[in-house]
Amino acid sequence: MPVVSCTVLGLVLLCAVAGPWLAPHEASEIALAESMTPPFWRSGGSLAYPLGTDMLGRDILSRIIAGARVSVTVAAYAIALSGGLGAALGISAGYFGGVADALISRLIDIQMSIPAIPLAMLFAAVLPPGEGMVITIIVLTYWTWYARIVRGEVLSLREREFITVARVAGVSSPMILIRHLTPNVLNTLLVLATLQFGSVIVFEAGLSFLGLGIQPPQVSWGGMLADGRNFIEVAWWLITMPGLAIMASCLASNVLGDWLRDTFDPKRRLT
Amino acid sequence: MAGRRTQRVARSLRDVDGDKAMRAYLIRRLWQGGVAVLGALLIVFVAQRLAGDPVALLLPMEATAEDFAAMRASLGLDRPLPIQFIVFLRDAFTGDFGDSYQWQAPAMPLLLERLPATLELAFAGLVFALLLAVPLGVLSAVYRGRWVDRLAKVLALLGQAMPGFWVGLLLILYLAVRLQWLPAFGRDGPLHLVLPAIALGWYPVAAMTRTLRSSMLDILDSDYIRTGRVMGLPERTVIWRYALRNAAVPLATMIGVYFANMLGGAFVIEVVFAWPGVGRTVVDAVFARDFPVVQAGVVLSAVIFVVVNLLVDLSYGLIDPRIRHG
Repeated sequence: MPVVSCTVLGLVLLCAVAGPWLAPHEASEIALAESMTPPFWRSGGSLAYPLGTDMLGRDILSRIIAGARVSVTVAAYAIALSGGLGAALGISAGYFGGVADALISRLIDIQMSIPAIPLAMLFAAVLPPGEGMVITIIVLTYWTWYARIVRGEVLSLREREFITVARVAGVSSPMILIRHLTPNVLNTLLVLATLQFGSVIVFEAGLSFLGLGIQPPQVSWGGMLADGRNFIEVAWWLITMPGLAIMASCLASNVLGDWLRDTFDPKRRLT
Repeated sequence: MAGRRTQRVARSLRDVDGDKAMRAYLIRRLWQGGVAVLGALLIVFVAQRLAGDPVALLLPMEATAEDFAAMRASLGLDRPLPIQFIVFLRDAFTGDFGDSYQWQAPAMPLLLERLPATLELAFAGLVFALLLAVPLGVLSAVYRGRWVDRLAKVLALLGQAMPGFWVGLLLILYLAVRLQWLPAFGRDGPLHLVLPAIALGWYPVAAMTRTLRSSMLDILDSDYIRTGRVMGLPERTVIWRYALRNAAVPLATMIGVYFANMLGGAFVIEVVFAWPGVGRTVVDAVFARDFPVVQAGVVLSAVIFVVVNLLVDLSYGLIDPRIRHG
């Protein structure tokens, strides 16, 4: 299972990096004569457009490859920023306790008491649309994930002997945080980041589907689904193919994340 | 006689203790909920200020600097920010978020009018999720490692990887367009509820099944279940009556959270199925830059989220006395 997941994720990453060289067509290349060509295995389909074309004759496969680039870019920034912010706040809250913990925990409570999608609507109404906005929304929604879990881990780590020994030995707080606590939560962060990848892809697709995320002419899987929705009665492939891309990426990231978690924490494997 | 009385006194003393703990717990949760709603209001207020000058939207192009100043004063925008926030809070507590730009009507009542449609959808989604998750969870625990368990695992993986709005599109494509079994758009009788409810209820099935499966596995191992079996109770009674009742507690406590999350998820699903609820209205408002409606929508969902979670915590104490006394 992890091998398959890595292959799928590798493929998505490859599309993101080398997309323009891999794609058989330009993603925005319009060919009205070829419009609504079905996938190659259906009658009327051709290998020139393996997954068919949309209403403007644009190649679906090339657009899915182009969409991978947007999804991966958004996911990379969003994961790095929300993971960094969440981990920093979580470690501080867990280690320092007291006022810092109370403040950060309240902030987490508040953030978690506002459902993510309505909150995203609020920011979508305020910020200019595009990649930057999508990343901002995801970071503001997901940092609590990291903060909450890392805080919990640090709370228990803090009581462990090696930290007490370090403190008694006169190691400074920043040093304990960086040298002793951070390495111990890295596994957790890696698992969370892997799981978040799929979650971010779905979230971004949802926003773009609503028309509030990535804006045309930039290609996104969610945007493709929104386009295809208007032709649902005549062209099933328009809503099927981008959805499969979303599903495959998300599935791969979830399976790999679960596998990593079980590998790092063998106790969980038994249940 | 004396013994029984001592017992009674002891019991009532215990109850007093329990009530006290419960009350302290309640007050703490109420306080947390209040802080959360206040935080949501603060976020909405800050976002509104970030949105730019509302006066520029309201005044005609040829307005002079004096017009701007006058308008600003009449809206209270010339006052210091903390004062503005207090005024905003005062209005918010009376449900006043201003008038919708597109509908020319107060924003909150506009949304409250559409709330029943959204609640109906979320409730139907929850029912669908439970109808699938309860049998799957129980059976995959009872037949652990067998095909039901594996099927549940595959379903769970797929469920979490298929976004609800895509499931919705596929349902429309196959069940509404191709087979024409069910209507795809609008709200006109219970049949219209089926597809959106499946699309919305799809996602939590995985987590619900997993929760029920693991608590069921624990319970099936416990002494009282073994006793029940030894006493010769039919296996069906043991599982569905005695084991499920206790195993359902963790799931029951999560239901409120899922319900609240579904109210958020309904935003997207309502757009897919043209469902006339709060979500679709707010999404439309975002496009129209109809800020009062967006604000009212965010605050409304935060309040519902907090209230539902509070009710869940209360019912948790009622379902499971261990929580009340702990």
